[in-house]
Amino acid sequence: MLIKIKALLLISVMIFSVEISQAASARSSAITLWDGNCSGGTRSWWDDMCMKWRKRMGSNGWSQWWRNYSLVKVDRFTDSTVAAYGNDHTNIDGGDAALLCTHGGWDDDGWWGLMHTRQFGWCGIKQKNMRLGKTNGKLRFWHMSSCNSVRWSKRLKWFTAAGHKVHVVTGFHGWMYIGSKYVNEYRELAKHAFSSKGVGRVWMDKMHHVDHWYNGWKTICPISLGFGSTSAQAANAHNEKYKWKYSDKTNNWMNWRYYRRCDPNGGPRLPN
Amino acid sequence: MIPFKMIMILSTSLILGPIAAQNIDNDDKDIKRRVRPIPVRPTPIRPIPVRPIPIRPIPSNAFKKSLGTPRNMMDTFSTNLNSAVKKSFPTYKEGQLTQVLSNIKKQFPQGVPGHSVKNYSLLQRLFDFPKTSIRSRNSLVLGPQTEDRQGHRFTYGIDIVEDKLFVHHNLEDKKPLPYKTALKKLRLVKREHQSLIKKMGIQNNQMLFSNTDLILIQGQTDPKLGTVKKSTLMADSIFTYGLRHVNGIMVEENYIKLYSKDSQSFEGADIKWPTIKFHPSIREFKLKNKRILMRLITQKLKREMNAKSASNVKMAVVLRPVKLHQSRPAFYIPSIKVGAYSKNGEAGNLFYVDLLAQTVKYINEDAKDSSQASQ
Repeated sequence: MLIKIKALLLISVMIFSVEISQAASARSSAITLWDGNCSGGTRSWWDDMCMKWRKRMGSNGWSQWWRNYSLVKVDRFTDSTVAAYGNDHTNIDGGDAALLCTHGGWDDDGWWGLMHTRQFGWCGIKQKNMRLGKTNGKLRFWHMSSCNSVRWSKRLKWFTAAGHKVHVVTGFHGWMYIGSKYVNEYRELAKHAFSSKGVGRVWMDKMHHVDHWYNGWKTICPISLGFGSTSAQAANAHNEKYKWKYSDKTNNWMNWRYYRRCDPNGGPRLPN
Repeated sequence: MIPFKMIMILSTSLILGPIAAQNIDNDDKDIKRRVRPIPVRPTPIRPIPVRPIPIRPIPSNAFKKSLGTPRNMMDTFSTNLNSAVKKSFPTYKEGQLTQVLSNIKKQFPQGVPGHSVKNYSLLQRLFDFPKTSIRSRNSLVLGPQTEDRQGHRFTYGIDIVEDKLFVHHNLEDKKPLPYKTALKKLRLVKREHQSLIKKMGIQNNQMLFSNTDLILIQGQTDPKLGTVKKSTLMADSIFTYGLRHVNGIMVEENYIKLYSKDSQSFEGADIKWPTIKFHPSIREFKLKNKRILMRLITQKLKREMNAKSASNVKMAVVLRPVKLHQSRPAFYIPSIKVGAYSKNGEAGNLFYVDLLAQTVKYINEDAKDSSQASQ
């Protein structure tokens, strides 16, 4: 009898989870070889990293959407309120969570991500042209597997892109590596942040590394940015899981979560 | 008789009611509730019997240094990849490295022992979780049966294939520590973490690197809104990070990550410290000639690095996991790990070149995604 009750309880939990998950969408874009008219170094494992995350989200019950390689162009990431060619709401902003795997850099405006093929004169998507979230899209979680995607000195620039109520933005301060050893971490992000631990927290846990070379070492420095109407809400945003949606907020506050004194290549040591 | 539908509704609300209340929304009411500090029962951690491990010769510092790129080349950029690889190549003596690798195999015929928490029963005992029988070998275990007395939910799991261990204690409602308080507690939490590592059967003499430090949080208002308000700098977590070596040789993808909110407030563990077995087809540890290795590395770098930009190249001798079967634990092979950065800021390129002269077979896990879903 006890076993039967336990089985019923388990079935009911499963049904409830599926009902929540089915409506949601995980979206990814990756480039490995820049053989279009934008130039970049080859990174053959980058699509594996993006794909592992997306497929694991798929096995959690989310629908999967992806546009890779030559399909990675600026219109998919640009908001229509910023530029007429912008079409992010049917692309990256149309999902609940999205991951972009590409080379990145930074300038006075903050991060830019390298596209595969030039479009409307642009090889780079600029952070200032992005507006992520419910106002004109749907995105709750915006992940970037891209160097300096949340460079410390430029982190506040994400207020603009987050103005459409995205909940969490995750990226890296400084440079990071692409390789086979990192693939499973993206799968585990989807696995552990789905229902047991906050997405912003798991991003920090999984993406942090010490790259040791015996005669020296450097650190990979993930950063999570949480947004909210109040200080407490922004801090609590790091706890939001993929599965359980927090309500959308006006993003007046940003809360940054980082490793103290993290010291990467390609960026200064993070502060105390 | 209670109708089936009624049982479903009741059971769903009984199980998910408290969870949903905590997680589905974070409106102000929830946050106010969260501010109230809740005393957390310290997690009692029981030691697990550890297999005695034979004493190994301590590798000399000179040997360890010879396994990596010389210090003077660590931050050097060059457009000449031939020269960069040559100057950055580790200075190990082939005979000595062969000897060390052979000794590992002789010394640990059953494999180098990893952590001792090999099943759910041991994990439940270590963290004092309620004893439940778990059939699934490869899953996370969730649910109210693992709550502590304050209602904080535990999630845990063992991945048999990857030989990984995961524990998460949900302390979202526990306030972060003020920065200065956390600094004072660092040493104490470090000791707690070291004690836990020991109880998991992880040998201190396998630790290549370990560090205990803080994860910080702080917030501020959007400068576009006018006068900027900033919140106080707080320590959200105290973490310990560890890397592994065997007889001086670094082991890839093996690590320890431990997290605490405070002393006596354990938050979680993410551990991959498996038994290390060499690839079964390795007959001897005869190494590839250094010139051949350098050529292979240079060729790959020339194919993949941005030719317009100078590169920094670092290398290290490592043991790395490879798979013979997707659903079975990995075996280890000696390799040269190569990491290359372009000065123009592109993401680093990290790859491996097999060190043994003998070819060993394993699965190439590099898969190509499609451009898009077929419509």
